[in-house]
Amino acid sequence: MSEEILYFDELPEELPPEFEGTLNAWVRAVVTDKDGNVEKHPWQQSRSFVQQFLQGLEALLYQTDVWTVDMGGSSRLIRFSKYASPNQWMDGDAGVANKGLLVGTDNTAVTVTDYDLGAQIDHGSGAGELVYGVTSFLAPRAVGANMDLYISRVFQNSSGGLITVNEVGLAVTTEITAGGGVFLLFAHDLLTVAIANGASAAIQYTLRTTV
Amino acid sequence: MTERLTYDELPEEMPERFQGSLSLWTRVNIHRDGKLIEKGKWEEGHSFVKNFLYTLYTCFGHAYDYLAVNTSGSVEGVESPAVNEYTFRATDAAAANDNYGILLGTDNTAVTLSDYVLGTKIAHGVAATQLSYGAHSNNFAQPDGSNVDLVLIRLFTNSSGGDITVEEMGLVCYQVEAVGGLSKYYLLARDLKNFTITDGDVAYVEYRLRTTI
Repeated sequence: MSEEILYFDELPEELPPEFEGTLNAWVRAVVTDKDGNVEKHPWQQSRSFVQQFLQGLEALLYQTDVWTVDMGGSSRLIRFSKYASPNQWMDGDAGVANKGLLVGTDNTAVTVTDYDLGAQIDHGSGAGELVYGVTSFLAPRAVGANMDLYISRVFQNSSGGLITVNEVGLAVTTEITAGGGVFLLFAHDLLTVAIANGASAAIQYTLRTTV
Repeated sequence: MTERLTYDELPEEMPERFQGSLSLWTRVNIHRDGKLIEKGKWEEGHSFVKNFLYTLYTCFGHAYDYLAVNTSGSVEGVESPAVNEYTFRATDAAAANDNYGILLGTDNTAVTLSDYVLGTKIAHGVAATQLSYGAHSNNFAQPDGSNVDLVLIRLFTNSSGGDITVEEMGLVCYQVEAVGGLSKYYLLARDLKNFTITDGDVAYVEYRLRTTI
């Protein structure tokens, strides 16, 4: 994987032409310290839809059950989502740390076969933990020749110490043929942000299609 | 606009600019009397349209009845999982169905983000200017090197009595409400193509979605 990753203070309406025709993704952190001061990190080019993302699309588009790997590393058969099944929800509630936007401390390079974060940070206020807020969305909107889907989650540090995030991910829940739900990692990115005790960080993803 | 790439075969190692993205590729192979007579190149697709992200949004964001423009130009809700609603976004239409899946047309108007339908769809049939729409086939999305590929293929047979020149192709998904049975069709991608299907020939038309790390 190339080391050259693009950054923007704000995502431009007109992206470099090489992004035309693709679904691209961008990620950043916005840190708010205990006094309310806000520090916006630049948007960083995401490098990493992993294998489960296309397998999830396959289940949606092809009306078929699809083998994939859940966040525990087990092979699972996604149930073709037809009627009233939980199909690929990412909207994790506050305190829910197994879907939606997730954060971790590992900085191992991302691979296409990643199925979990390297070392996910748990939800909570104990040492090394962050309080997971709600994963929220803005409905897709046209921005010039782009469509943007915005996903965000706030992580509050009440642990008593500094916590450094080195990785982020997007995970969904879905249903399997054996019954019940499983969790699937769709994207994994390396992103470093230090969150002091008493501070919070909003991690934000923008998924963008560009004509 | 950047130059569109073409490949005889999609390389395992993609150019750097595709890293981190979901890219779209198209290819057309022409067969005559059961034999391949013209192998097309993979061409870079350029065009997920608005409804593609709407579809992802309803899946990921748990958004019910998100309003989008269907292929008839009407505004309808893209369904998310909920009681009494089917949730799939099928693209694997059966033979003879020209409402969804891979569709072909004759219009060459530039693609825009707001496109919701092909400019001029070629209808299914054997009459003049029509093509027989075949069934779809697909692969299973598995990692290959740093990529994961998802492939959808449809066959189009020209039994119209004359040559037909195709100028556009699109991918349309289908939903149906469990109660009431209302069918809904949404354009996900549209691309300009230019190829001719001679009377009696069969075109194998492929879309390939590829994620690259």
